[in-house]
Amino acid sequence: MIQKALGSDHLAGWLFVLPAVILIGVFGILPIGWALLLSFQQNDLLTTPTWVGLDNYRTLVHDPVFRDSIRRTLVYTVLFVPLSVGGAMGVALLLRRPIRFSRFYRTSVFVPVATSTVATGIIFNWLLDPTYGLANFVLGKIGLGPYGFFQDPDQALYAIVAMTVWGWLGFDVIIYLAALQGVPEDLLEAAQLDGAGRWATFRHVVWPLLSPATLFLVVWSTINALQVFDEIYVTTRGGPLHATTVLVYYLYNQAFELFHAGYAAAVAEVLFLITLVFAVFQLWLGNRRVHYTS
Amino acid sequence: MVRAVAGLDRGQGLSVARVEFRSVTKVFGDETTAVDALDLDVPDGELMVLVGPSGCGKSTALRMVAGLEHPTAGVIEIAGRDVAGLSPAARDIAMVFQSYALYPHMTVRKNLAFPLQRRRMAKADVARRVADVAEMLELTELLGRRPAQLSGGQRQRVAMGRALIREPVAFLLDEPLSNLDAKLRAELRAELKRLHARLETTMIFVTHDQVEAMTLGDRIAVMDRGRLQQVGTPEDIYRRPRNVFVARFVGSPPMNLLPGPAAGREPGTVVGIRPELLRPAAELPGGITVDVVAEVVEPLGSDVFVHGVTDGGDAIVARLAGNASVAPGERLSLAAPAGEVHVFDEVGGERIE
Amino acid sequence: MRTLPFNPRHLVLLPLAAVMLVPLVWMLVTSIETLPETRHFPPTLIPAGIHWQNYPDALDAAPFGRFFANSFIVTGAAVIGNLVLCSLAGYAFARMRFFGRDITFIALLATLMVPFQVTMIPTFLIVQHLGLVDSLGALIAPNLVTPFGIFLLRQFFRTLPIELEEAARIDGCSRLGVLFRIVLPLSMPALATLGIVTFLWTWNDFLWPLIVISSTNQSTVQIGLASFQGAHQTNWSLLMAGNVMALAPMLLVFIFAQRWFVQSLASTGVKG
Repeated sequence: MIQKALGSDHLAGWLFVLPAVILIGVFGILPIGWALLLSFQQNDLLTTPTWVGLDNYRTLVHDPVFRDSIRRTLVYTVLFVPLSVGGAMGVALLLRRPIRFSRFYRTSVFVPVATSTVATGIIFNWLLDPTYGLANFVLGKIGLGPYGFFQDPDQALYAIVAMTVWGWLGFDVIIYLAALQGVPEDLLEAAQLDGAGRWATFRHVVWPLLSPATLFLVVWSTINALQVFDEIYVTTRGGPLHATTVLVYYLYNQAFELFHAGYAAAVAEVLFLITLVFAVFQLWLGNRRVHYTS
Repeated sequence: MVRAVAGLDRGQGLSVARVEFRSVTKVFGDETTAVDALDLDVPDGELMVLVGPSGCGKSTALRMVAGLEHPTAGVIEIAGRDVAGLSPAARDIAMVFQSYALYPHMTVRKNLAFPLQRRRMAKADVARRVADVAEMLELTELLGRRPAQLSGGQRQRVAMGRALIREPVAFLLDEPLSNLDAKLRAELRAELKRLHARLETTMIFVTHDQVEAMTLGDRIAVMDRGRLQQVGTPEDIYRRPRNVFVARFVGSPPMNLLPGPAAGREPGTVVGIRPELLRPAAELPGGITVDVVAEVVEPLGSDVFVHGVTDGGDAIVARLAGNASVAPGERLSLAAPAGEVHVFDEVGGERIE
Repeated sequence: MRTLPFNPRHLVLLPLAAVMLVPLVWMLVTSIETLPETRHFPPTLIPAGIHWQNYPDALDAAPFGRFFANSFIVTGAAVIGNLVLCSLAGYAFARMRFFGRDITFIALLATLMVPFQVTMIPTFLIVQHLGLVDSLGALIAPNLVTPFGIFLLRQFFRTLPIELEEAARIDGCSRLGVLFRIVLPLSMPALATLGIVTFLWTWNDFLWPLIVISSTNQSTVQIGLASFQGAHQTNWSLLMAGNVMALAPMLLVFIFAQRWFVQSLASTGVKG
């Protein structure tokens, strides 16, 4: 009887979802289709666009700056993901058991997450200034440097990696700490009694139980790394000498500084494809290796 | 549920050992004394039950044997050896946790094999032992499953299996039956007793349930607030409790306590009478009599529980034969055999007689 | 067994905490130094005095007040919009049966697969057509509701016992009433998570505002800060003062509501 009274609510249901559907339709779904169309056009965001078929894509294939931007993006990603995810796991394991000052340690690890990408960029511009920056001062004290950091084409991308790991590590630590709560203390004690040393306990008990969180973080971090932009815009602007021109920076530059919007749309579709391939591959790999407990 | 399997019975690989507590004390960082100068001797092959209300220190004592906590003072010896400084794995003991602590991401087979793999046992030997233990505990069909797919009783058996498989010198069990329903608990209690009889290993079993303690233990150690109250066979504990705490802790319903004069003793004493020993006074001439006004009568078929009040205002519970007919408000004269009455000192609670 | 007088983990954690905090502390110190003090190597670690003047100077150099106001308006609208619209949609997807429900839900979720950078150009064109370019409307409209929020709330609503809602309906409550009187009060953790995550994300958003806003008066804090840097590139003390002001609200929220913050971020990962 209750079921009948509550049966189907076609009208009510649609009324509830309509605002969301309209907004996401206009600002989410429509642009997805339009983006594909754009990639087949020559469009400068002002005048009437013209249809050019696959020309944009053909140009892409032969564009050395584009190919380089992919390479740089991959280098960045390959460095960023293991450093931030792996580092976060280590930090989370250290923070897990009670220790003096643990609130202080946790707060200091989490705080950079609250800083915006712009603010982070400005801080690091100052910190890594080759002439007056604190970094070269401190490194000089232990006999290293001075370094050009953002102003050295060979170092700039690595400096970006360091800066973004600083900004994101805390988020990964938060996720891992939450996941570690799912590893009960008596499980670790049982492993101790079973003769597992610290490494064996980690390898056979902790790591498998953390693997869902690891998968999430790897996929999430990879997607974010492939799309890095803000910090580069605020620090190196893609330079010096294109050393930090990653895919999205190239995209932005083409679309909104050179007004080759059609071409940029094609670049964007390639970015989408790369992201999709990475995500699918990681999820597939993950499903084979991740230990779900139920 | 526990079948005969060659190779795991006494004399074919299982060594046994005594466990001794010598004045063991544990004080935690916030200054709570969990265990206070515990002296206890668990001989070879005995099933010793540590029992007491929560917070009495029994689990802490067990964990110190396991090496998961370290005594603040005192010595623990396993098989004659002082184990201070030995890691849990090096003590050759196995523990069954209250929550079972099964590795949720491993199959039953892997859970069982894990301790042996940690000791670098050859694969073929591991497989053989796993098969043996699985057969013994009737887990063979479940070997490929994960803990989440098992029932509570099955998980308990896997936990036992994981402990058994290492053939340790002693087993430590921390309230392993507490998470099960009453029926299952009774079944597994019997299984455990049978297992102990077969293996003849030293077992230390911790519980808060005095029924469990009485039915399981070769001997029982009653603890309260970190101190050992009494150790002895179930019979000892029941018949000659050393103090009021032990007297009230064991036996259900709990022993009745009356001020000395109400039962014909000197002031300054407390007299204890077990409910099951009270009979209508007419049936027991020469016994210690107590007059009671019945308030609540609970007929249980085999027995009748009568809750009442003495003239002096003390509560009394009597367990009478099932055919006794008592009405609420009725006045009864009850008696208990004079020789089976306990007398305690009012102040310290210690037994006088 | 212990050879050191203290826990060895401190040996790693302390330098780590230093690395995490030093950039922020250094930013603070620089913001109260005078310009000559900053143009000094080795760096002036302890300034001669507290040069508060940098702050009023920064406020003069760029309308930070305006930037904050804009950010508040945009972020506030996004948070409220999401809380309301995602609740409505999430509840409908969770509890109501209507034609096309599942396909619509999947379609909305599928949009999460496509990176923002793909859709940002057409979205710009749409906003252009709507005449919203260089206005706060352009920042608010696309962010009023996100599929992530709908997903989050739908999943949460489904964990609530449906008997409560059935009882309310029998008592004569309308669908909307059930949502607002029964379901939402029980959904505080999920709403808090959504609110905090939306707040964090919208406040710190940079790329979209960069594309769509060009005038100072419509700039959010992030855009304003970026152009502030552009204008005063090597005036480090002034820059840091501006940076401190821009960071202050978020850092304060974080420090006071750290536990909520952390819990919200944690639950996005656990469900994700």
